[in-house]
Amino acid sequence: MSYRLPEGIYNSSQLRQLHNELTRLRSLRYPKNIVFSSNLQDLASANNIKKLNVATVGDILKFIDTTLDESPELTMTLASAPGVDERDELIARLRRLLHPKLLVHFIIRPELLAGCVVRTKTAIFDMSLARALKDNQQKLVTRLKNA
Amino acid sequence: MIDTIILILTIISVATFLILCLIAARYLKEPLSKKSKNTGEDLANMSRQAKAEAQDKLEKAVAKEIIALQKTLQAQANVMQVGFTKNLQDITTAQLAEFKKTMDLADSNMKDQAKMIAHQGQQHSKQLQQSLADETAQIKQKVLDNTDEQIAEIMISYLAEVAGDLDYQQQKDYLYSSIEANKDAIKKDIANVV
Repeated sequence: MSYRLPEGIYNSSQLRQLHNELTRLRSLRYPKNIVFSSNLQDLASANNIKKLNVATVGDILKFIDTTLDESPELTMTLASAPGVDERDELIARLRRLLHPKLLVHFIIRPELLAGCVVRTKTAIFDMSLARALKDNQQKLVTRLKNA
Repeated sequence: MIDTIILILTIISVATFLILCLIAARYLKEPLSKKSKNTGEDLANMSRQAKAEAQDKLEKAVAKEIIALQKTLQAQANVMQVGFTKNLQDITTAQLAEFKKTMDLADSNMKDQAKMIAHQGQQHSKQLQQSLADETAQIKQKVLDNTDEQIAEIMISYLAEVAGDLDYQQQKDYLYSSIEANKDAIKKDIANVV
């Protein structure tokens, strides 16, 4: 069974935490008075799971394992930190544009000024304003000299 | 030196006087020995008288000779003094001339050396000025080049400082447009890895 990965769960660490939580839940034989984490609640809500039992937990664990194995993960460096809603919007946009189960690890570096740097396992895509300024350095020098 | 010569001449004159005295004594002794053969007081008186006369003549002659000798010595001393003075003046004049010549030569050499040093100083000064100007121009160019090379970094740090409070919302459009522009390349790279 395939589940939808909610925007609030966007990196491999969260998935591993979820995996640990579900494993623990299964080992405790699904006690009724246990409090679930917000990520597990989001995952269940996003996939319309009403009750966590042997079957659903097993499916979710399989989904998490598959996602960790197969989903692409990239590192995105931003100039400033997005809020929660903005981050969810960005994740949604990235999953729509690049891959539906994309995982993202965020880093904040103000010296980028604006834009972002995307690092995959094999490449770096520098889309920052700082890079744009460096690439157009000669134009900047010429304009400053002519000013 | 003149004093020494006068002393020598004086010694010579005294020696001459003594020699003359000896000659006179011999002259007097010989006639007396002849007369001694005569007997009587007359002979003795004659002998004493003759001796006294001879002695008197001798003393006069000696005195005359001494005066003449002194005059001669004085004249010779004067001549020698004049000669020495002249020689001394000549020597002094020659030495002064030589000294002047040497001084002139030294002065000329010093002036030449001073000119040469001044010339070398001017040349060195010009070289230093040129070197300094070249070095200044090189440093200036290097600073300009460095500024050109680092202008982007300078601008980035400036913008980061000025626009450091830019929040995510303000740059969201730029972020989305840049992702949109590179989506195909990123997607392709992700697909290759997956």
